[in-house]
Amino acid sequence: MKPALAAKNPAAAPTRLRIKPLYASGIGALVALLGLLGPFTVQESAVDTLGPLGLAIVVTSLLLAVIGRDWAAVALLPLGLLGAFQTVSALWLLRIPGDWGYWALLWGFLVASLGGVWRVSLVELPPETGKAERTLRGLLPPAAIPFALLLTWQGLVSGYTVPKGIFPGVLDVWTQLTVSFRVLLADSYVTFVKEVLFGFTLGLIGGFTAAIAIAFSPFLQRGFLPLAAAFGAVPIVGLAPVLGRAFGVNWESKAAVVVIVTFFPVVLNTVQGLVNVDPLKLELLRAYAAKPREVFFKLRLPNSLPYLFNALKLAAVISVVSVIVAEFLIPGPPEGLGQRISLSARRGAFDVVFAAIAVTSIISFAFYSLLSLVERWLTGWHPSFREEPR
Amino acid sequence: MVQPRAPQAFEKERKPVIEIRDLSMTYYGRGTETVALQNANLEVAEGEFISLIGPSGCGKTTLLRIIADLIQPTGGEILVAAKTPSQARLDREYGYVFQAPVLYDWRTVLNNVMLPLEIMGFSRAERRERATRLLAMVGLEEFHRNYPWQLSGGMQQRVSIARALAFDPKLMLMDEPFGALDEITRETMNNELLRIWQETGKTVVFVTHSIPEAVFLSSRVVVMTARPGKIERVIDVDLPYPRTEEARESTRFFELTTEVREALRGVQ
Amino acid sequence: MLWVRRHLPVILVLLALVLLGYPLALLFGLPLAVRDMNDLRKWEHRVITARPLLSLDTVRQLQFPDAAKGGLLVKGDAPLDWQYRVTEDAVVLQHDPPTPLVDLGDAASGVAGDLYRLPASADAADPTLAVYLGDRLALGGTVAAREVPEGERLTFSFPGANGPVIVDGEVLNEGEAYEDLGERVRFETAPRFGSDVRRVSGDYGVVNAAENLIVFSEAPGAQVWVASNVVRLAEVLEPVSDSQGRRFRFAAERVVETDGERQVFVGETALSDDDERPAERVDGVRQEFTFDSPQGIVTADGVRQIEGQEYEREGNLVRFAQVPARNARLRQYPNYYLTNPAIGEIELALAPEPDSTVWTSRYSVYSRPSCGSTTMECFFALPQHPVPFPHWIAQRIGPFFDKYPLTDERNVVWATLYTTLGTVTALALGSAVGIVLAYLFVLLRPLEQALLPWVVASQTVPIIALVPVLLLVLGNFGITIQTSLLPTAIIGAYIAFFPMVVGTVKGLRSVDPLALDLMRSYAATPLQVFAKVRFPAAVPFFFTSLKLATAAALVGALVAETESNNRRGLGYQILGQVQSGNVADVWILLIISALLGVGLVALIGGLQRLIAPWERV
Repeated sequence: MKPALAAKNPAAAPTRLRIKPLYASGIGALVALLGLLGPFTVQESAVDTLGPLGLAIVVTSLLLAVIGRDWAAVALLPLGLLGAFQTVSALWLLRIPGDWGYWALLWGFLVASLGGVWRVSLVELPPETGKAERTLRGLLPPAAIPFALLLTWQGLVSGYTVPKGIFPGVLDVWTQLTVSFRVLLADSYVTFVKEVLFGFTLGLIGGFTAAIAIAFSPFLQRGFLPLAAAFGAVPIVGLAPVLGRAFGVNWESKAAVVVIVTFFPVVLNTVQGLVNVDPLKLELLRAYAAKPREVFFKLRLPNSLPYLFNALKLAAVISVVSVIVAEFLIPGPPEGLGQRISLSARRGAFDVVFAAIAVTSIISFAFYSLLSLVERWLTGWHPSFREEPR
Repeated sequence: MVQPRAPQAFEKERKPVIEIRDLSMTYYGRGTETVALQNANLEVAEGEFISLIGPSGCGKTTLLRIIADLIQPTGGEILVAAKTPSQARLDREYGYVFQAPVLYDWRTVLNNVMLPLEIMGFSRAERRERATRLLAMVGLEEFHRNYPWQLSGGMQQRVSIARALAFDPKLMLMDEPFGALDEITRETMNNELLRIWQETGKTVVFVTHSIPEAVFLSSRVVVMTARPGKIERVIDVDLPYPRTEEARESTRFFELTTEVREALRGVQ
Repeated sequence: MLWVRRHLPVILVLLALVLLGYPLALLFGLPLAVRDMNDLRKWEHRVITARPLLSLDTVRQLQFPDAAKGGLLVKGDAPLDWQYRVTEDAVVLQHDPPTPLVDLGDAASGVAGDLYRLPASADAADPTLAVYLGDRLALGGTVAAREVPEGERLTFSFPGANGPVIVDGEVLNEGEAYEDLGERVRFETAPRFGSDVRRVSGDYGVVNAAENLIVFSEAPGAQVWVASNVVRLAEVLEPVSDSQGRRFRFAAERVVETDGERQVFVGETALSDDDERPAERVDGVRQEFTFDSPQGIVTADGVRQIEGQEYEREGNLVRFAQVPARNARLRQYPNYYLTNPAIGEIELALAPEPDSTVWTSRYSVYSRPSCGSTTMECFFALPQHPVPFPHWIAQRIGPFFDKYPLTDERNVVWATLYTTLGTVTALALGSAVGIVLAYLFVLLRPLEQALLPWVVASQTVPIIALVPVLLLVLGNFGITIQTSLLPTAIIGAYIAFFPMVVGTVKGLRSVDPLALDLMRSYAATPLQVFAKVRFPAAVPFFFTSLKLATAAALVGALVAETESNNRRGLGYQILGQVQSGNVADVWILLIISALLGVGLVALIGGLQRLIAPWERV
């Protein structure tokens, strides 16, 4: 790979950081140590509840924070999370409100871990670092964040003993997820394969065809593009019931919703991509006396691909959200994740609601990531993928 | 095949590649008229290297674009390879090099060079063979799998020259191809271009606003004036080919650059 | 005029879109109309069943005003052997019918001429029983005495009745047992305590329901007879070609509903549609099964099995050629089987006797679709058009806005304002969060590295689904949707913050490095750098993403409104109109929402020109 020409962006350099991160970890570990001396709940002391393992985690964290080396930060990151998990799961088993010792342990561990995250993401790796290690280190901070968030969530729910019917904890949701896995899988099949994938494909094909028509007609461009904003603003809330009436309450109407939410972004972006062609590149082909067909396939089409993928990634996310809304608004046979969420929320089963939402998010994120991969594969030449020096 | 040329001596015997008579180009805007080119007359013989030089707005690019049939003149006559420009374009008589490299981002260097060959219907094997040979000629064979953004500006422009040569046109139209390059790269590119020109024996029409470049490269320099764009003078460059770095330092070179410079000054 | 010229393409495209409404309306409406036409349940249809014989006039015609052409005269469950022909709506008898149609028994002794016993088959309590005096329908009825018999009272009053007096199921003779005083009666001897004292108020009264005894108030001057509901015009089934003569089809065109009351007769024998289950378990191994009857039509999982091919029969024993699948539903229909419910084709298990009639007592007549006789009529008769004709929408605009007075909160103007407010709050909240996050990302690269993937992932969470949860949680803090815009705003903000983050980060990063170096050479403070370089550079990106965020916030607000049931906002109104089926109103609201979105985006554009006049919008 030859060196890229992109100028190093001075804004990217972390120049103005004053807090030394492992101080934060140290303070966190100290708070946790303090918490270990306090009461865990009204009945039990923290030392008794967490036992020697808890003490070991606290002391090791403190030590690592003092050492403050690079590898210590890497170690602190999972260790703090482990400590927080120990704390939270201990209280979850007891099912009584936590006392100040609990809170000190929870926040202390989380701060200690986040201090590690901070340092890991700050460290400039030496240039001779291997690619695998570099990738792994790059993945650590974003991987730690959701764990910290989930632990905070469960920590708050456990600490205040919020009932499951009002706001379920992560562990409740996880339990529900394992229990109703089959049902949720069947729902996902309906929602994603029948509704989203089908509608998405249709919307993509239709949108692309329409975009080509518009791109070749200056009249349509001048007439259609100013109205684009208006089309974007037509709310799916109102459209979904209308489509439900036209296509029936089964999956077809929801697929139609997906077709529409995919269609417009695809049209708009593809038209942009087909039209916003460097005039010099057009003249080059004119100089070759290329036929219109060749201009389209060799120039306009490749030029529109990055635009198309932007639209597709957007549409992938919107179509999932829309299909959930559509399932809310067009009550049909009780299948599909949206219906599951709607029905469960109505009877107060919020753990099912969250489990279904989790499944939706995971599949939706996977869909998005898949499109990103295809995009990278097909349009890897595009400037947005150029390696930027850190 | 490299042979010294004395353009004047042979001019009459060679058949003209480009014939321009009383060519005019006027742009009509909102109530304004801009005369970009007025009554231009020029004849370019086969194998010549002609430079068009002049201040901004003198119509040199306009003239080049008319030759390439990218725009149509409002008056006068023009023949390219004894045909109308439009027919010449359809017959793929010329290769065009723009100010910018104009490479297609989504094609590798090799594929970029193969682009005109694809359009002109060369066989797959021949496309490959020609493109590889031309990349070697411009010294970029080891970069054939790279994408354009991975190359420097000078390298990109060399790719674009290779692309223009790919289908072996008799005529090369070059619109300030080295304008955006730094002086050092530009001189290297000039040497490269001269070498390629002598190897291939093409006719070249070269637009530039660098006086040394024009003198160093050309067999004739066409000096143009601005507002209205007109051909002011045509100066024969009698420096012998092959021209090397020494040629840049010869007295004759300085005399000629001075002559061109004075012609340009007289314009203003 | 110039304006029109300049915007001609937009106007034409708008016009084309409006016109497109017509084919679209047809495209979506016609299938529904065709469905209505083909759906027999939505046809005008009558069920022809038993009809009391209403009159028998001098030309020996039995009137069946509602009956279809053709039929069979049936008495009880047996076809009558009278000679008759069926005309348009009547049956004409060739000879006088035997009269009375139902014999009334001999007059009881003592009150000659006015006491009759109904035949045993007729149920006096049957409300459909009709007693005729000649060709007039007689009205029955008795009135109980107003006074309570306590054992000593002699005079009783019967308002509105002057017929024979009945005491405890005995008809008393006037002049002997009592004296008629108009509407009052004086008894010779006082009726005993608690006895039932009544008087006939109609043409006749039931004396003793158990014995089917009735009494006429006056001696009948005309023929007395009873028309029982057992005289019917029934349907003869058409034989369908079948080598064994066992297949028949109902004459009525098609059968839609499973008609539980339909009964098939062969001659005078009613056939039941019962089915039999095999005595043995269908275990996937057994091949032979025993049924109760020695004949019948066998089905497996509802599929008719053909004797000789799929099974052999030896009396009650049925042997399948292939082993029936485990738990397959094996059934035997010993009498008949409805082989084709759609067209009402039945197959008898046993071929009927050569001369016997196969008939049904009840059938349906379908005349035409209730929506109209052509597809277009049905189209216009659709209760709800998925896509209404554009001019219908246009016609609805006026009434829609005038539905509630402007002072009423339910007026659409207020709903629009409420949604605007919700959107703007959501936008403010979302862009505040987005900008702060973006600035932090630019300032602290590690934060971006750790959080940006999750900002992207956050958008894959269907936040709409969390509206109920959110309402509950906020409700715990005393914030309800009735009093606060917050729930709506949070949903809108969640969707709107994403484009803000991405756009603003891009904008802040788009600074020319030279411009930053220039500021450094001036020794500018970070705040100055932000104000003089980063902010202006970010402005175009900022406004572009603000426009995206506006649309997103509007969508979020609308959806939140549909879920939150606070009776406010366009979202709620849309849902309301959807539920009440006013599709034209839904479209008006959709157009209002779209215009609102365009308006808000245009407003942002105006703001941009104001704040950043150096940028071309």
